[in-house]
Amino acid sequence: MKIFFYNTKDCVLEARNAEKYLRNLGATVWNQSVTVNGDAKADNVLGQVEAVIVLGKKLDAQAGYMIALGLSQNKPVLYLLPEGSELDPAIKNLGPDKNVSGRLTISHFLVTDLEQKLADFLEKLDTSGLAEYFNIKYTLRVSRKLSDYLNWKAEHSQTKKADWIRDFIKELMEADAEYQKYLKNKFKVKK
Amino acid sequence: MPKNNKKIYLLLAGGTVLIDKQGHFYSVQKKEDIALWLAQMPELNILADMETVLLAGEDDVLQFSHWENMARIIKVKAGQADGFVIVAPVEQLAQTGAILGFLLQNFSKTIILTGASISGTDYNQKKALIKELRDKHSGSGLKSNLINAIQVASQTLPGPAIMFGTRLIPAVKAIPANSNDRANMFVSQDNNYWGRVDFGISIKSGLQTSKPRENIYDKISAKILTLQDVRGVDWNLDKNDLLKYEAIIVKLAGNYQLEKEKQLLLEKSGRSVILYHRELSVGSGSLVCLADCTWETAVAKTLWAVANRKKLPAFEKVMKQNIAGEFNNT
Repeated sequence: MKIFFYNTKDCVLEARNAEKYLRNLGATVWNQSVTVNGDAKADNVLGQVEAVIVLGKKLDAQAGYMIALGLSQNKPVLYLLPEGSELDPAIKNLGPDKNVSGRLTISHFLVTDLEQKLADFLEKLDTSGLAEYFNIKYTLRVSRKLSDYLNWKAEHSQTKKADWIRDFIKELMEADAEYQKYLKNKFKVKK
Repeated sequence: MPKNNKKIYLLLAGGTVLIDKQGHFYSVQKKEDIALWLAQMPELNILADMETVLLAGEDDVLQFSHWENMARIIKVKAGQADGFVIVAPVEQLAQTGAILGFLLQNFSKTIILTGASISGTDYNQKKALIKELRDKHSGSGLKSNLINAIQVASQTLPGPAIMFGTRLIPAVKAIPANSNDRANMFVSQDNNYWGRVDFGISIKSGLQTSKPRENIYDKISAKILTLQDVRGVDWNLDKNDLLKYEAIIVKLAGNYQLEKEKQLLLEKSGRSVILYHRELSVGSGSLVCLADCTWETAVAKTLWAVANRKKLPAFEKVMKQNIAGEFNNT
């Protein structure tokens, strides 16, 4: 999972902890210090991330820009602010808007529950429609024997080969008790 | 505050097509459309306080009066604005930017041009393109382009710029990209970019931002005859037709000089004549040769120089002079 993370200057320590937690989960975290080299990569970098997380007490221009850009590209956006901080009116007005609701999560945190707030957001992402979207491309090499079987199966069941493989993996995943147990604890905060 | 109380004027002149997740289309044809159109992009309100001005509808083709009006409004509103964002059809974006570059020279406020990857409401004619935009780019690209444009509009730049996809390009250098990349439809003719979008907008360092005195002009001339020459294909200039024009601009392409007979015809026309070739210095005699700039810029400069002939030094001299950073590597 690739996440873009931005923090304002008033929350540096909390940001460090949050980034550490995300990296421990295996997420690739890009932040404002990342330098992107090369034209091909620089074009549509935000397109490559799955979510945007902004952490800060008082939003600066860059934070506002990252939230707006993330929303405009239909990315889920989490805005975290310390408990007791006042929500910027521009963001507050966005909350109930039907055009962004569901994509923007605004959450106040305490030092003690920051990881839990991140976990909740990631869990929501993992169960959202986005996680079910077939957007990851695999190049799969198979033997002629397997290929013959796939061709026969596709014709026999009137299904596309890719659909049949997807359905087969889905069945395997749902029946895998050990994996289901892992999923339940995937984002659990370790005490 | 993310807005920092920025006030941005949003001038709408086509290029406003938005496609939502459900496949609904929104664009601005008339004033009454603006509220619903803006409501599809509530995230813009995070960035600035915006005031919209409608200059042309989605299906309008921009004309001389639109461009003059655009410059006039920018001039009038400059005192109240931190910057200007112009939304225009993708086909006319470079032309619009180049014209503004000559009308509003060394302008104190930043002018950014942007738009959607498609223009016009003839959606049925563009089904394949719309499908591609929805599948690959989750829409017409306008939302992201606008966000980037608004973000950069309050920064100081040397002149009008096009913000499209991940590139911030000097408007006088922008040409259509020779690729199928719908997100990045423009490139800079001499690879000179003023900024790029990655995680934020990185503005190129060392841009000249302290500007000399503003030179503001109100007029461009509509009395220009544009010709695209093809070697071996004859054309003639009718005396009566020529009366309608003050200048002729001829576009040449390929590795050749203008044929002698055509050159003579142009010399005898009694009009100011500009021979344009993107790379070669072509022609001779009394004809002005322009190379090393974009076609849109050559046209824009001619429209401006002809209309303001009385206020400017000799036409030939002005056309050769670097006015708005239009020549390559300037």
